Amino acid sequence: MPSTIATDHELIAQARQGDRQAYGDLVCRYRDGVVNLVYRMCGDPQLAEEAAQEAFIRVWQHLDSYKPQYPFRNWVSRIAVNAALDALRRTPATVNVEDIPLEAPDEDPEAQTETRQRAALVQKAVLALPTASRAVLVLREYEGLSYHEIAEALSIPLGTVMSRLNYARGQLRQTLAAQLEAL
Amino acid sequence: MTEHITQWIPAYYDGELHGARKQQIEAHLSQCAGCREELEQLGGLSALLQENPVMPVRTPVARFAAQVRLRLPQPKEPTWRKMLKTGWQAAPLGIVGAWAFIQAVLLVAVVITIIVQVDGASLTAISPDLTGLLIFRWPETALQTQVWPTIALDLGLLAIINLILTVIFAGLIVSWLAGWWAYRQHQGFMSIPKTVV
Repeated sequence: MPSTIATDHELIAQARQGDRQAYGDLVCRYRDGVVNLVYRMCGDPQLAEEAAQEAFIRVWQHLDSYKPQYPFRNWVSRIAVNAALDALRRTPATVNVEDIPLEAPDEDPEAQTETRQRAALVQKAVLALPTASRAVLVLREYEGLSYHEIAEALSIPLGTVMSRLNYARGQLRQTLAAQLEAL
Repeated sequence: MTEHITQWIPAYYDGELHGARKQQIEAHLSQCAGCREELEQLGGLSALLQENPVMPVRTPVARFAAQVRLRLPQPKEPTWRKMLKTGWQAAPLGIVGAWAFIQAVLLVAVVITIIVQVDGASLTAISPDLTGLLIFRWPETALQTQVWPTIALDLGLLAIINLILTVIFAGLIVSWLAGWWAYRQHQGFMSIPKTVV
């Protein structure tokens, strides 16, 4: 008997009927995306996991308002970024950007490659952005949302999306000038 | 002009421009090396940003999903259903209350009947309208001689009315109990856990 894998829409329909097992399968599918989004917003693994769980609870609560003609991933991202913003409001000083190590903690010095240092620098630069600009940048650069979708997700005008994104990119180009030169 | 065009380059890079504006930018980019470099830098920044590390794995995905499932709130009951439930639960009280009220009315009717039949004049003296409460009245000429049979007839009629109403109310209560029992049976069947780990 061939095994059938339920599509997202099938799982969503079942979850809407109150099927928690089906919703659990959806959570498994989108966990990594949501956790990474939230982690890029707040930089603290523990806070990211809590905010990601909160995001999935909100998704469950608002599943009836999801319109299937739009990508589920984008809809979840919108909820996740707002959960991350709420988590940052509750615990704003969780991560001190200056404390982020530029080298990944690894006992093997050979493993501390230039790429990893660069990744840490990028993370530090992103986390140093103001929260509002960071949210726009994360939704655009990592989640691929359109300006219109970002405006809806954050309840801000389209012009504000553009100005915050331009500001964030400008700041990052200054902070990461050396790394951009090396590319 | 260049400044005006430059501000649209990020939107062009993000694929947000269409139609005439997009063509205008493309025409400008074909002529302006500075703006092409600006566009390339945006691409370089995006590539660099992709090096932002993902979150180190902490909780296995299955455990994470289980934790989320445990925290999920119960679905909210619609207001109409809540009201229906409350109404259903309050129904026996309403039935018993209505029955008690009718019993009280019938008791008062019995008392008035006796008073009026024994001494109709007294009641008429209090208020002529109250004599209208009599269920059965003999003609004036027979009033004095037929007092006790009349009282017996009135009380008999009241007793029959009382019996009919009591049977109706008892039927309602029994129906409610049967409905409640059926609901509990159905709920018990529905709430049998699939698996207990």
